[in-house]
Amino acid sequence: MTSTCATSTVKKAATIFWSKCGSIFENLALEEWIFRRHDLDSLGEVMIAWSNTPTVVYGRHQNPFLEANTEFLSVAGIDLARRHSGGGTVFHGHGNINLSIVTTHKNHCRPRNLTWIAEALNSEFGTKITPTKRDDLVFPDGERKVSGTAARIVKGRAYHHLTLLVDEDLDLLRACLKSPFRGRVKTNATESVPAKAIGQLSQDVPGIKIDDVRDVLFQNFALQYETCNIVVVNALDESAFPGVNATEAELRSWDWRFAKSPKFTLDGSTLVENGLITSSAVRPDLAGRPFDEVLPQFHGWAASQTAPLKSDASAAGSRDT
Amino acid sequence: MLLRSLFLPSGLQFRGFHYSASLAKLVPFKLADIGEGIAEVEMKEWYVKEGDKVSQFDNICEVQSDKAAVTITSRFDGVVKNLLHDVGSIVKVGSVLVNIDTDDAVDDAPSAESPSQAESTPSTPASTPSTVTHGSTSGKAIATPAVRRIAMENNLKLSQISGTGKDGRVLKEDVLRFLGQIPPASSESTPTKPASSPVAPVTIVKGEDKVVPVRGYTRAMVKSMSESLKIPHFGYDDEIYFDQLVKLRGQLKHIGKEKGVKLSYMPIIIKATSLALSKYPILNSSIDGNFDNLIYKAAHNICLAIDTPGGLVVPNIKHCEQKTIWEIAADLNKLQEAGAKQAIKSEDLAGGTFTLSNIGAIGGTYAIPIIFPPQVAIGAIGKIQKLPRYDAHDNVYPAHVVKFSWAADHRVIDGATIARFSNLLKDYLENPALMATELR
Repeated sequence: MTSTCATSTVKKAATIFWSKCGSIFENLALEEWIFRRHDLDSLGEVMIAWSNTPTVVYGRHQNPFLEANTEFLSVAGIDLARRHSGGGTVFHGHGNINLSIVTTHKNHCRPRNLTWIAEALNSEFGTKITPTKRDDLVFPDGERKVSGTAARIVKGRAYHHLTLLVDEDLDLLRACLKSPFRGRVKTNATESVPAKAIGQLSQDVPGIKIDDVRDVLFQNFALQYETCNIVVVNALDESAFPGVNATEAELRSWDWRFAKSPKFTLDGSTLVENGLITSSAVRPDLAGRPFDEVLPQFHGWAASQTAPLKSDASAAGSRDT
Repeated sequence: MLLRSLFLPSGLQFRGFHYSASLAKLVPFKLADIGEGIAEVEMKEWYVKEGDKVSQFDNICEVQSDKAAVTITSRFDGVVKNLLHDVGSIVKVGSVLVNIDTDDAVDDAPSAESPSQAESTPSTPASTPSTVTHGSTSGKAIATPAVRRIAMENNLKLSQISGTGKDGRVLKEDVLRFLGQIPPASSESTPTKPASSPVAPVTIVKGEDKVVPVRGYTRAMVKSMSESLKIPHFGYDDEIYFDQLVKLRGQLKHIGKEKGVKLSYMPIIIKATSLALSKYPILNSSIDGNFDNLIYKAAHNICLAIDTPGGLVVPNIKHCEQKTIWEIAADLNKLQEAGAKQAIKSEDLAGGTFTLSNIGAIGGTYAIPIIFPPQVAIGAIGKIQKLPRYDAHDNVYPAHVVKFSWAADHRVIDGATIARFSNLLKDYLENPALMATELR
């Protein structure tokens, strides 16, 4: 698959940030800091690599309730995060490696990145992974997807980040991403396009470890540049990355994760805006409450159920807790 | 709306264009090409509404093209006239997103309709409108459009400059003051003025290289580790206090002016490194092809990263062990000038024996710069930072601190050697007088 982007013939300097921070919020905050503040002009391009504790991450303009089983996540202690880039929803834990390639907008080219990544993996592990038109990486059957991509472009800078499933608990993944509200929600939010099948490297390369994958990716990234530094980030150091902790707090905040969702209607009868229930014909008593808190009370209302007339509202409200 | 007084020579007429209160230009702000062959995007969110004041670089809206979330920022200062797309609608690249009333006469934007004033009339606004930005968006520097322009023209980021105005506003004086005080370490890669240095040409005595076969313990390590292409690196880093060097450089600056040589910190660091390498020559050695021998190089050809328009290049300064600091500075200037013209010669790129990477090591706990084979070691020099430190009397003072990170080939260099070398260099740089005592 040929790339139509500009090819940089001169290989400059680059830095690899190897983050060992455990949570998605720290890692996304680090990525945001580097995206905004790293001096690309003098220090060159960046690749950030990390793995974190089990997390569901949804895209900037998505609706978390539609994309994941949020109740299950809170019961299972799995983080739920909204990222700044577009695209769909992913699950990642310690069996997954995340990469984020930060460059100028001019040098941003997702097909080119996916090509070198696929070639590096294929030559090292004997796989035959290929990039697709939708910027996924898939096994030769064209069905099992091992990597999903998303990107962000602001003020002449860009990042391309992707997941790479190495050896994850796929049953857990499926449970997390199965929303009980599918088919019941009307919204402008971007909806994920589920992969035909979930793939991971361990399916075709038994015994493969994250460390091996990371080494290969680091080497092949570094080879593209004249000089490449590796920086290990064990914790978000405010003196090294001023302002990063505020970014992390924002990513964890209810406002960012829930209030920012585009407005939506559930079952045609409940309107949620800015994370709060504006009105609900079936549960008017819940108006003004944050939807994520009272969500369990909306189970049992099937999509086919039409909104009861105003006179029936009180009867409906008294039904259950 | 703004009222402007317009001074017209008498007898001039407007060509039928009817003015209301304002001379504002209505500029259509179009969705620029996002790249990637994208023809259309979805409008996801507006950050502004009709009537809002915007400044250049303020967020206007969010659009999305499949995987890419793109924030569109304003190219103009002005007032939002009308939004042309609803959230959720499809916007074609090249179509107009918003119309903006720009009230700034000096503007490189294409204007949709220009008020038809006679060409020879200068419009003299009564006063420059102080359109201040919404400083409330997290961490953004507050400054008027005029100040932003000065900063932009000088390739400065407003966030670098501390503002002394109200609410931390960056004023014009702050920018001008900043321009007079760019920290020395960061100006390494800027091309110097094209003065040919009157420093006399150097006579070099050709030294003898020493060839040492790789034996014993080292050889065994090599055999077991060298299957992979990776050079086993290990890192070591340290903080060096530049306070004495800052003083020294201040004292030497005027001499540099007389010689026509720009003296930055790098020539001093390079010379000190060379002095330290004389005590630890194994760090200046090279591994031969089959890893049979370590060649202890007599010449200290120290490599540096030079930024050129075509990218990063790593040439070296030959025989630093036989050159004075001035001679090294002159050579460095020459390389920087050549780099700016992309005219660095291949003999300057070949033959390096040790590398000092001054593109900086930042963040995290430590940085491991990558060694250039056949060299066996490399140092990375960070930025000068003013940090609070304790002096000998337990008083806090502003110290000039620079982090040096070293990496060495673990097959031939052990940790103690690198540590001792680093300590020696630290001594030289923190006590420059010590270097004078090494003179023969």
